[in-house]
Amino acid sequence: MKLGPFPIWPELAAREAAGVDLVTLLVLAICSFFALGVLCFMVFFLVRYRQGSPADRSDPPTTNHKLEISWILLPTLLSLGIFWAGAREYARLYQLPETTDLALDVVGKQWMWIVHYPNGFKEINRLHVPLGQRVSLRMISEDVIHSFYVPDFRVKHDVLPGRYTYLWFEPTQVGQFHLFCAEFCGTSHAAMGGWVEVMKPEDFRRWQEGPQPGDPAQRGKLLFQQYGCQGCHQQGQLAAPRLENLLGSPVTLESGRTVVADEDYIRRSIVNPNADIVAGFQALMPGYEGRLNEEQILDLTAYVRTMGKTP
Amino acid sequence: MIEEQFEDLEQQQQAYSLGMWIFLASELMLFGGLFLAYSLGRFTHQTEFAQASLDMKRMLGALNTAVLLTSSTVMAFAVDRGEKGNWKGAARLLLITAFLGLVFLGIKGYEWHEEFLHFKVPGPHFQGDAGEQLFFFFYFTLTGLHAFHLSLGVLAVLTCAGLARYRPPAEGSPIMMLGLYWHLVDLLWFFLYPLLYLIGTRP
Amino acid sequence: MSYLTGPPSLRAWLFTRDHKRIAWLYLITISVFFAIGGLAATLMRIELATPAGDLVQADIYNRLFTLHGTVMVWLFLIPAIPNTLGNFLLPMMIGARDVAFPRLNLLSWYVFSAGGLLVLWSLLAGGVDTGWTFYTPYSSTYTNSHVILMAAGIFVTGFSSIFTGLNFMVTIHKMRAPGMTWFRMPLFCWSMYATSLIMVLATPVLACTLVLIAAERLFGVGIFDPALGGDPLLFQHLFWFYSHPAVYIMILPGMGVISEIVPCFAGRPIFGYSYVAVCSMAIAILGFLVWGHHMFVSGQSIYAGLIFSFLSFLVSVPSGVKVFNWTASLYKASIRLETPMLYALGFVGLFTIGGLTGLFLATLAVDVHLHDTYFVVAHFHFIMVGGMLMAYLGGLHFWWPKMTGRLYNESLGKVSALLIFLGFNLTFMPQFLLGYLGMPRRYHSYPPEFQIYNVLSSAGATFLAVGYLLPLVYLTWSLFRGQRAEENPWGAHSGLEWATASPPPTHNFREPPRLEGQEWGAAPLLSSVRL
Repeated sequence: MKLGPFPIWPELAAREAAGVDLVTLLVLAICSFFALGVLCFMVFFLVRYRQGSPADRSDPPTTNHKLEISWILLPTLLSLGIFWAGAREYARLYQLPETTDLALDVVGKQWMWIVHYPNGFKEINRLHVPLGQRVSLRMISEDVIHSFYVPDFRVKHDVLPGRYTYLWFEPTQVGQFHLFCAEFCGTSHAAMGGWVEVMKPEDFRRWQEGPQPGDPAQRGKLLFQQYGCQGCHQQGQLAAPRLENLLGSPVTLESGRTVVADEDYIRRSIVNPNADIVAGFQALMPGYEGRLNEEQILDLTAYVRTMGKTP
Repeated sequence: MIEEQFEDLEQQQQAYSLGMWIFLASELMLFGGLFLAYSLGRFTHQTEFAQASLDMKRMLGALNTAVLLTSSTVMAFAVDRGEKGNWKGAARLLLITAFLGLVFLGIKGYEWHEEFLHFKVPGPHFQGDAGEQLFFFFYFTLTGLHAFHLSLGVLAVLTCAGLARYRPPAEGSPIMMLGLYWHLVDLLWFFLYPLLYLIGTRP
Repeated sequence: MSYLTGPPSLRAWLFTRDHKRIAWLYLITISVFFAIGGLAATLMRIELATPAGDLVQADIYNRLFTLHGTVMVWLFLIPAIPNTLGNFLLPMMIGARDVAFPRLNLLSWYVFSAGGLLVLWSLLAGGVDTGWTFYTPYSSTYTNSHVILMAAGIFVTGFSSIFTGLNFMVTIHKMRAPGMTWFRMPLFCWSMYATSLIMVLATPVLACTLVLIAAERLFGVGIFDPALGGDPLLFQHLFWFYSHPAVYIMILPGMGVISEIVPCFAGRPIFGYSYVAVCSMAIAILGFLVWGHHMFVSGQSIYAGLIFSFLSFLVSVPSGVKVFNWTASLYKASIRLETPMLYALGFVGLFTIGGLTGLFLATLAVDVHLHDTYFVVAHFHFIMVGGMLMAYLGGLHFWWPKMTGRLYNESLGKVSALLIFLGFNLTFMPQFLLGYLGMPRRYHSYPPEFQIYNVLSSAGATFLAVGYLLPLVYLTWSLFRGQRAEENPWGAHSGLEWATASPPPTHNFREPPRLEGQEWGAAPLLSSVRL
């Protein structure tokens, strides 16, 4: 939104953006009230009580407990109101919805964003997403901390090495919107950006059906064989835990704890398998830290997801 | 004897005493940060930390604990002598305190030497996995920082002993402040010993 | 005979134990560091006037903003008021001859200078490009800049902070003149006490954190780098546990200065003295509990975010209470608008705006959008430059006659204050908009739609630069040609520093002042003080 040559407000291009803006306007209203209040009183007193003016200055009060209590209580209550509004919206922004329509994987590395689509397509510094559908992002960094920021959607989350972080949004406007890296990550931090391109669902479908460079699960299967995983994790072998239907199932560890095998668990098991040994098995698996990069781990996870399911 | 910014001796003593307490509070925050980082390391690398802790020489650590505890007791008596004006007695006890501090440092130095010979010093020559290296990093940092503080304490105690013997103050007793510092160093060791030496169980 | 006269030897100044001379040593040192930090800012603003990175390469720009941050935070903002005005005035305000530990005070300055030199060395050796926040694993593993050298410098200056805090706390506890109870102490002393509390308790955690980064760099132990088995969020928690209270170290002394200037030029006692005093302590204590509000988008748990946001709203209340009390102190006053008062009023206005914009950042959902954008940059510059720096200049002008025995040119003073106020607003107001529009910080180049506000900001910075240079000129000039000042040139009604000569004798007072009864608000009425 612009006022002549001056841009004054970013686009509202995602479903939650309006909610965030409402909270912003609430804070703005309350803060303006206090700022203007203080300013008006100051100016009024400066004029009325300037040295030499004929105003009444007898017995200037030095305390007034009622006044003090009220200007402690009122701001506190208003603050708590703002807190509550902000917290509610925050929970909506950061809690992944039950179902999403499109799940993308994003790998940040110095100094680019690599986006993986479910059909195997990869893009650099660009996301194509369909209008009106819920998009979730699973993000990780190859090196240092980055941050995935789309101002017009009002979403941002740090992208960490060693751990997945998540974002979701539902675009409400067709167009191109800035993608920025918002955590200083080295020399070309300022250049580590791109675009989110929101397309009408039909257009997005057409775009997706473009050339298919391969299915991540297929790539993952290749890696599984290349790195010898099937040597132990094959049907019939007893040396290693079974991977069929593993994703989403509970796993009992040697320490007695039970965890659910999610993507993080799969990733940790590949990278540092001896951190959490499955009950009944020995610490035999080699770790693949440094030998597989994050994109390869994502492909392997995609393959593991297909194991046990009839093709 | 009374510094010119103070009105009287009592004000001076109270000022020095309060200064020492505030200094001790800042020392607690320093070690506190390190203890916190250690705890987080322990939480995320439970097995490796326990494994690495088995390499520690428990007997020597226990001996060192006894040495410091004794030195604190001797120091407390030295403070008492000073308050009663028995400066010669105070000087003698301070010397014993310093000696015990040096014994501690000697034993610690021997341990470090052994650890060095067994490639336990973090760095390119370290033998062991990442979790164990992290443990030893904390071990050397915490015990090193502790030993640094203890060494400064020993020097202070020796200086104090010399002053008590040859130039005792006309009134008042500054040994109390040094006692506070010494007890802090001792107290820190009481936390370090179990955290570093006792967390692994021998099979 | 004053503390300034006597043998004009370097030795007399470099080995002094007089708190007033030590204040001057600090004043000169921090002014040099301010100039260095300011020079970096000038280059940055020139670069940012155009969207492309055309003045300097990205790598150089990154080193410039790191230089600007580290030098301004640790070598200027933290020591400025406490070690210059605080050192000079604290003993006098409570009726003492000096601080509790004068030799420790001198040592503090040497330690500070040594640390500062190490930081400068790291800059001359090529600088650091991590930002003043040193986030890992970039700073501990990936960058090839001089992190350890700079960390060492900051580590050393930290001790100067701890010694100063310790010294001030003991001085206030034990060396007040007879009759000067806690609740008759000047508010400046209260804010010095609160500041000292933070200095003593928070700084050691910074020391720890710097050691851990250095260890990870030197030995490759996995503390913060996940590739080595560490946790990058651990660094952020440890760093902000110090660095958030640190911002209160920076602003509390400024608030103390305002609490002294306003009553003097309003000709009436401050409104709500005990509330203002207690609020200083409340800010110091609550300030330790809110560090996680720098980490709302970092991957810390949502629950942690909720707690830190809630507490951050609470910590804003005492600051607001102070602003209301300063405003109420203008009621039934007799206001004179001399230079120190102009700075003080500017402070109240700009600090109010800066503080209120902090509420936007404390609001969870809004912070998701604003974190790491120019909104944050604007917010903290409003507080630090619009607030703290204006308080420093105001205090410098207020107590200049006392410190030097000379009056400066009042017209030039007013002109500078106005120029700084206008330049400041032009520089930093546009940055709030830039932030909400989505321009991230630490960007060497940016999309062209952000240029219009960047040009306004850079233009404002030019006025600011001129505004800051003027006092350097006329204050220095006044040392040689300024009109001589009397004991109480501003006609203050309270404040023991105004009861002694300008400049004061070496021991401040011949004997401790006795306070007998009559009060001006909460403070002892000057004319009733017996010396």
